Amino acid sequence: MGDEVGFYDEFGFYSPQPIDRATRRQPGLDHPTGPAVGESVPAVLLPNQSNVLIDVQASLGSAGAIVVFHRSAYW
Amino acid sequence: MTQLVQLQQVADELATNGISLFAISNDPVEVLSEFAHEHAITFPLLSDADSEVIKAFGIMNQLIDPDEGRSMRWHGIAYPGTYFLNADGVVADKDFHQHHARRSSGATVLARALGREVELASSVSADATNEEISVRVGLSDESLRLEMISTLVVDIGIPDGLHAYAPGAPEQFTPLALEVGGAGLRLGEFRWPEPHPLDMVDLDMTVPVLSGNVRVAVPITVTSEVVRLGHELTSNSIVIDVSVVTQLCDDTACGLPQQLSVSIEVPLERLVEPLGIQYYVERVERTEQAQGTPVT
Repeated sequence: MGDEVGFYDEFGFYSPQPIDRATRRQPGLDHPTGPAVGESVPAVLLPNQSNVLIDVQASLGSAGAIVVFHRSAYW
Repeated sequence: MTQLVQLQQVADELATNGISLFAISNDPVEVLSEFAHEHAITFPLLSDADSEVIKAFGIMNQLIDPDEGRSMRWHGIAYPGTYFLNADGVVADKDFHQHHARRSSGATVLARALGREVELASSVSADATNEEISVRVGLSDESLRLEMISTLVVDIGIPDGLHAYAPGAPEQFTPLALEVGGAGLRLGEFRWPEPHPLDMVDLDMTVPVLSGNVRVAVPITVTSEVVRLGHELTSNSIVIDVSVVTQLCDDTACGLPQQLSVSIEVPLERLVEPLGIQYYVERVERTEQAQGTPVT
């Protein structure tokens, strides 16, 4: 491992996981970002960390909501 | 995961302002439960274990094959990003970055959601003045962290009765200019206040000017040049150099162009990292020790 693979990607970002790992692939600038400003989002009905089903659309605050998609809480 | 921990820190203020908060990943419930317990996360961490919602949004990462990293659930992850929904569930704003490591700090998300300027961390500020102008520099967060995008705020104080030409004014007017520099920093687009037009009757033209307190907001983060993911910090702080060039005028005459510089030292902090990353870090550090040079 090491010299032949590399750890810095084309953005200069370093990770101790070598850049040949699948999670280090970077999309192009035009990668999809889902619903556009002005559009509604799909229904979200999913279990939370306590395994209780949460309906996002039924739980919007009086001023709305922030919905964050992340890669993982774990790695 | 630093982003979730920072969001927890602003969750109460979001709730007070009528904004609910949700995070979604393809992690199983058990993983989210463990993480929430370890980091005292109280807002909903939603488990989209089959990536059905991620697919419905159209943001599943297509760069990972189904059989890659199966035990770590790499296949089915989302391109990370944030939606700001209004009370009707319509997207009012969104924040996506090309690189998966880049994300907005909790304080920056809060300000954006509330449509207001960031509040400045009390522990981080620096200022400078001369006879005419003052420059005060602050930051949205108490520290900078790798690829977490904070907001640098530069307040330029212009005395009553004087004005500066705004960026975009013809070059011969020496428009107000701001330079921000320092090794290992990446800056976003500078956000200037709206200038007001000044009629210059003698020249038969209208020129944009700024006066009073001019607040410029600059997205800012530190890069791998100074912080390596998973490794010990090699420095506990970073210096940001800020320089303002301006020429102040009243209604009849202008002074000479002048420059005022100030530096601010900001603490660096490590990300909240998963334990698994340590395994890789130890491999890299062994390699570096053996070969006597850093990996590239």
